Amino acid sequence: MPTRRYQDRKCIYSLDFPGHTTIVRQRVYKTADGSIQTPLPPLWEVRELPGNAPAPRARRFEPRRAIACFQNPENATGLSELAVALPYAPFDSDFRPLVRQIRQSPNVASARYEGESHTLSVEPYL
Amino acid sequence: MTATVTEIWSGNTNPSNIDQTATFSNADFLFFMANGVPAGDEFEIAGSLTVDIVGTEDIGGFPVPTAYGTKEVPLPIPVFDTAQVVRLPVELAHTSLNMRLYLVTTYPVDLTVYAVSSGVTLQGVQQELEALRERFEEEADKPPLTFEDIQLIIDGVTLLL
Repeated sequence: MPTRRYQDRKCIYSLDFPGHTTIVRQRVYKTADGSIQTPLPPLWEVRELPGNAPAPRARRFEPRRAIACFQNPENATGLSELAVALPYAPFDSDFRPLVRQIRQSPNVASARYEGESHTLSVEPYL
Repeated sequence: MTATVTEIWSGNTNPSNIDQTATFSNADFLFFMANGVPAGDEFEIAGSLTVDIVGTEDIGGFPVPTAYGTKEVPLPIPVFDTAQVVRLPVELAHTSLNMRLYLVTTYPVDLTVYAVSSGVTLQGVQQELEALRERFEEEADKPPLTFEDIQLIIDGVTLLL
């Protein structure tokens, strides 16, 4: 398990259910000297929530996310992955441009997508 | 209620070694401070907790301390996070057994680690329960109340019920 330096940031997240938003935590990994590794493009920063208050982890659901793949010769697989929570719902006009910005971020070799999943009843959103 | 905070590690870790903190006991949780980074930056660090198992053996009628070795303790989380308090397993919290934390880092990290005792011990809780039990027994031993024992006092005037 490598030592990892990180900073927890937070953003306003639109759920898949229109009209519902929440705050999700984004763990941003950094190199030992403090350079940011997790790709957070301008469209993500638009939804960033400022302030020092810690954001709780999402409990009722797993947020949708783009997983950026990097070449990393230090890992046995030669690859490493960093996940970015996507604050825009798939029907928002900024959803696809944000995924594109993540894919086009420096050193990102490829990207895949995981949709929002709910671990508890969706009753509150209906 | 008071808490006792003991510093068990301070300084840079050494990535070419397994770092060992000072010995501690009677703690119920640990917390980590990330030093030398801006506010808001934290670290994920691999580590493990070990405990010295020491008992006593009866030799010639005298209790003699016997060491059974050092055992690794599985923690519910695989990574220590400097942003979070790490709770010790309940079977080790507030024991007098000596423990140490081993830290493994892939680059030097400036850390301070504290062992914290919240002051609530199992022995203290047992003593409190025992005191309560004795109090209830004393109450139970008292003769039951009779009508003559019950008095109502209103404005200094005693009424017998």
